[in-house]
Amino acid sequence: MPSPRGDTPGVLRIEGCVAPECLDHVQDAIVRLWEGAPQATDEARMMFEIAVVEVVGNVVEHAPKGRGFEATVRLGVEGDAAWAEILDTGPALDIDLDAGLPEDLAESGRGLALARRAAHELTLDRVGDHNLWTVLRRW
Amino acid sequence: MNLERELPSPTTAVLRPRGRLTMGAATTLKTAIDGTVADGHHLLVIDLGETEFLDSSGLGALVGGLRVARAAGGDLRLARVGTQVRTVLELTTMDRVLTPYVTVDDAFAAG
Repeated sequence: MPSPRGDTPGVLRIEGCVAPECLDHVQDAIVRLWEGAPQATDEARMMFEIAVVEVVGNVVEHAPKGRGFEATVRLGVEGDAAWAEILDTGPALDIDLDAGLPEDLAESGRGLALARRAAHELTLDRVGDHNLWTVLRRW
Repeated sequence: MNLERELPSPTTAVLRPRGRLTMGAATTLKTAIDGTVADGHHLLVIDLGETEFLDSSGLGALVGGLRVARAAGGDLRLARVGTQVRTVLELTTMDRVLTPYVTVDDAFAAG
C-alpha cells in the first residue's frame, strides 16, 4: 500500500483492520506507542486515541462486504506529535469532514465530528486506488 | 468488555460495562438495555466507573438506551464517569443530554 510515511523504525503497523475486533488491536498498539514517547501528555494520549478509534471505526463500519477489502493502520511519533495513517482499498469516499454534530437523540453520526475535535489535524485523501486518512495530535 | 447487571427493584437496574466500550461492545450493551427495559426495569443507571474507553458507537448505544427507557416511561442516567468518558461527552456536547452523576445513588435520586 502507498504509505506516505512508510515503515520507519518505531512505526507500528496493524494489518487486516477490517472488523470491529481490530479496534482492540489498534488500542493495544497505541499503548505500546507511548512507551517510545514518555513526554506525551495525558491529554494528548487520550485525544489521539479518541480520534484514531473513530477513524478506524469509520473504516471498519463502512468496509465493503466480501473479500478483497484491506485496511492497514500505521502509528508513529514524530517530534512533539503522534500520527496515524489509515489506508484502505475501498471505493472513493464522499465525506464532509466539517459536518457538525447530529441531533441530540441520534444514535450515530458523531464519530468524525468527535475525531476532528480530538485531533489537531484530520485529513482524508484519495491516493491511487486507496483512501488515506491521517490523524495528528501534538502535545 | 464485561457487562454486569444488577436489579435493585422491579423497575430499576444498574448496568456496569467494564473495559472498552467501542463498536462490538456497544451492540452488546444496547441489547442488554433493550432487554432490561422490556423486563420492566425502565429506570436505568449506567455505572461507567470501570469503563476505560468510550467511542461514538458506545455513546450511540447510550443514546439509543435513553430513547428506549424514555419511551417506556423511564430514564437512563450515567454515573461515575472517568476523564475519558467525560471528554467524549463534552466534545460531542452530549453531556447536556446524558448528565453524568457522581454516584449511582445520586443518579437514582435525580430528577
